Amino acid sequence: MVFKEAFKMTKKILLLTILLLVSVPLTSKAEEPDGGQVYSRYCGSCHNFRSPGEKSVREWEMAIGHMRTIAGLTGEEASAVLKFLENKNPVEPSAQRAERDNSGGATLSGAELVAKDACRACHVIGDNGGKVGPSLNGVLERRSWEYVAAQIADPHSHNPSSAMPSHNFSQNEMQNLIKYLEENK
Amino acid sequence: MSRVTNLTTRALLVIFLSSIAISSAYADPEVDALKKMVQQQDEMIKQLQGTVQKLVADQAKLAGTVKKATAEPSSKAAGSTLAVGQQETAQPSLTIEAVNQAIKSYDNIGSKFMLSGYGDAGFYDSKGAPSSFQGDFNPLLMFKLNDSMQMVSELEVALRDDTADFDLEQAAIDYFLHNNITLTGGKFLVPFNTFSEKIHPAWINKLPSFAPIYNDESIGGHPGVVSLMSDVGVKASGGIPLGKDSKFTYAMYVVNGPRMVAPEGEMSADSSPVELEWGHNLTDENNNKVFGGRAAFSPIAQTEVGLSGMTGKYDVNSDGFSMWGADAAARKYGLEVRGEYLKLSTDLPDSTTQRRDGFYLQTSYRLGQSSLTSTLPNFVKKLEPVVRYGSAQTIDGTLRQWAAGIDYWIEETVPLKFAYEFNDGPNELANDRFMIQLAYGF
Repeated sequence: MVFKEAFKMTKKILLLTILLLVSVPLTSKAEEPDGGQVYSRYCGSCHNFRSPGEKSVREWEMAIGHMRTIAGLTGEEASAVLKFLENKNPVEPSAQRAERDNSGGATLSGAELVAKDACRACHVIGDNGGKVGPSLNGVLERRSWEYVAAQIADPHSHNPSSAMPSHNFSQNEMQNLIKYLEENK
Repeated sequence: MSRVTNLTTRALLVIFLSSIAISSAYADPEVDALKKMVQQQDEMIKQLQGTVQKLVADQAKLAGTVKKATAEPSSKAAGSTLAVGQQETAQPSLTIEAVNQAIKSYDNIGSKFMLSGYGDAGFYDSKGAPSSFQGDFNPLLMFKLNDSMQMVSELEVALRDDTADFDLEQAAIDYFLHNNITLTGGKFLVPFNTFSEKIHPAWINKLPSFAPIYNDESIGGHPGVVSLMSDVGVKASGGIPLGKDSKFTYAMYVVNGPRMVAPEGEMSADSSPVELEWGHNLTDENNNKVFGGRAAFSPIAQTEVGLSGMTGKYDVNSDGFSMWGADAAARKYGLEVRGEYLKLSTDLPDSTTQRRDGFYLQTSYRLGQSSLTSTLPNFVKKLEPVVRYGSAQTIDGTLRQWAAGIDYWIEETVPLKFAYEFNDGPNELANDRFMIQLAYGF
């Protein structure tokens, strides 16, 4: 008897929840999620960060699809984190870098690199950014530019447990990025 | 004087004519040879141009084909080959973008399947029992059908006693119905609290054993309140962001439910304690499904509190059970704290209700992830001490347990764990245990 009532109640709750779930996204436009923040927030809440380079883009699609079910990611969050991992996957930046190098210049500016590689997903630069990693304001007063460049290229060289992914920049781009960080104290 | 001039003029004329005669006599073959070489080279250049043009066309065609194949699922490919071919002739130039796309697409071809999973090898030494080595292997096979649907299956191979136990822990299809709703059908990990669904894989669990509330089937392991829960049914799950930092996640499911663990031939409970077994009630012996769900709220990043509940029948007499649980976890700067509580109420045939509950609290600290420990040597930064306290009313009595260990992270998915359990309980539950486990996630 008690269980029958419980089932009836459960059904009502299910119905109401489904209505809520469908109506909320239809009536409100949420901010587009930042892939870096989603990666840091949800992947890192259960386990260590896996290296973006350990799987191909196609494999990440499947892994993130499975994690969408386990971690309760929205479709937008899953797409954003996939884009973030795709961007961090060394296979593709190498190709993009080759394209830029072969095009005879046209290297990205520091601001463009910060935007493209979603540095602000984890670090404060200027007035905004995430708090997963340390603030980069004034980082070149605290550390040498060689240290910062090495940290960007291979974060594990300084800390084997670093959650920060590697960034493959050309020499010119690294200079542009360091200059940009120097200017944003 | 004029005679001298005449002689000189004649001599020059003779020399000039002789030079022409000599040069014409010897130059003709060389010129011919040179002309021949030039013609040959012209032909070679023409051949090379033809080859290059063919390569350019082939490359562009390939890039376009794989791009199209990537954009459209294979199910649509049957009648599209001609159209793709026609499209490609319209863009014969070789661009770096096309090459990059082709490289990327090559990476994708044939990789609709993915093998992932985890495994472990361990050594367990319980006081009062023989020590033993142990190994487990849990491969996960994933298959993506299209952007809305994918499948996952997980085989569990565990070395127990004198055999290798095989079990199908997951075999489910996920359908991404909506931005906030994923439907799952098949056998899946039941979302009750977090350990069973998310934390139990050996490369994620920071200790080589399970907390007292869960049955630990490793060598010298203890009974708990429930086993890990994997069951057959359907599930709806998803999340709804609430503002910039907060989020609500949910999961609701209907599954066959557990069955009673009883001696052979017995299909219903008497008044003795009842143990429920998950994942093997595959034909639902009582024709009565179990309903349940979990709702969780994450106020800020890497912090979550959740509530879980389920209710249903567990035997042929339709005796009922209900279970509810609460979980919480927070992680910041390498410090992680997580805990769970669960309570199981089981109706018995003599109209009494058996109630058992338990909890655990675990904390760990990964060195090297905060500014305080950032200057430590690299070896030390790979260490993570962990402590867990738990208590549970198991089927054999009340177990209280302290477990302390240290993990060495060889890689971020490969921990080498050393741990010691201090157990306090009746009979075999009181046996302390030393454990070493090497786990890996792939």
